[in-house]
Amino acid sequence: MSDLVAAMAALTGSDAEPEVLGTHDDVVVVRVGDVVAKAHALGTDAGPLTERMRIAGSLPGVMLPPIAPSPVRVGDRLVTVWPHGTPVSQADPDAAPWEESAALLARLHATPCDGPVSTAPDRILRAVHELPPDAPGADVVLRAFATLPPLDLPGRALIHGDYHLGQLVHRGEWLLIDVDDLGVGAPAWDLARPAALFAAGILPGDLWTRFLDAYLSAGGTGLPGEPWAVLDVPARAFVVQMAARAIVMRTEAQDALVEACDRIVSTHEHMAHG
Amino acid sequence: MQCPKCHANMRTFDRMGVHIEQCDGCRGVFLDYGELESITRLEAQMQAPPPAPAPPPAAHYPAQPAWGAAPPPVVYGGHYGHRKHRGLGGLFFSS
Repeated sequence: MSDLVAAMAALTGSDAEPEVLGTHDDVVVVRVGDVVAKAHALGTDAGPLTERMRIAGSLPGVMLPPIAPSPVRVGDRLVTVWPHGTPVSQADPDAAPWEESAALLARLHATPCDGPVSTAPDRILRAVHELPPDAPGADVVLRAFATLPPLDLPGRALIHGDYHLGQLVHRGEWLLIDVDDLGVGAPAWDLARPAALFAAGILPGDLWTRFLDAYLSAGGTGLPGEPWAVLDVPARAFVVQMAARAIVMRTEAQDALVEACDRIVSTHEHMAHG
Repeated sequence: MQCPKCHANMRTFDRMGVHIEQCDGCRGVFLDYGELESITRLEAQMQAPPPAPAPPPAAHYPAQPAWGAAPPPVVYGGHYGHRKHRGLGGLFFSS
């Protein structure tokens, strides 16, 4: 790991002291001065990643553009280099840029799209596959997953694919970061995670309303008609994904999320059976 | 008019819309037909608690699916969205 961090730091061209900002699964993010290097997950393909970086570089004011146009191989990893931006403070969710992020998603979704397919649905399936079926609460999560139709949702736009408030930085303006799941897909995937947290009773209703209203008033195209008619399936999928991860990671969120899975089961199983 | 009891002069007062004749001599009070009922009604109104403030319309809580969590109890002067899962805010920031 320290070899990887040193090699990543060398790529930034800065001689400042490297600071590991985060490790999430096998992703490593290192800040060196005003530059950030990211080692992408093992098995990431260089071709689609390069294409995603090109898209990010073509969306000024929406996505943070990369410094180098393509990834560099460091051992078994692909490393990309980006400008540093200030993340959203987690101290006060009320003060978070809910409206700004919704407007950025609306602009992203309005971009003419041609590129790799977004891997948003894969994130759901991966979390379910990684859930041990005998873990406490896992049976309810798997039954909630079984209520879902196939995850090829209608709608086609350029989407972020893994939107949450950790995917924003401020660098003169708020910008979206992280191209790993960027691509063509149903825009509802970018809206369904906050929707799921609201329906699970975790995201307060006023914050959900701020986000939803800002997306709609910015001309967001992902929610034609009644929002929950579009959001229901992907929001259920995100509840399942977050519950599965909460059980695996043993976080305090698991109770609220497993309860939401339980409500999904009780409102949907009887429909599936007749 | 004169007091039927002591025959002193009676004076008319207007108390909250009800005419009352009171005797200057014995301080006795004479009520016309219906005036006792009017006074009783006024007394009841003054003792009744003020009407409770109307609850804010439930329609202001955002729409959610059938499996959504129950809307939180309304707290006057606060947000209508509850903060009972305050410790779970990290979920807003990571996948």
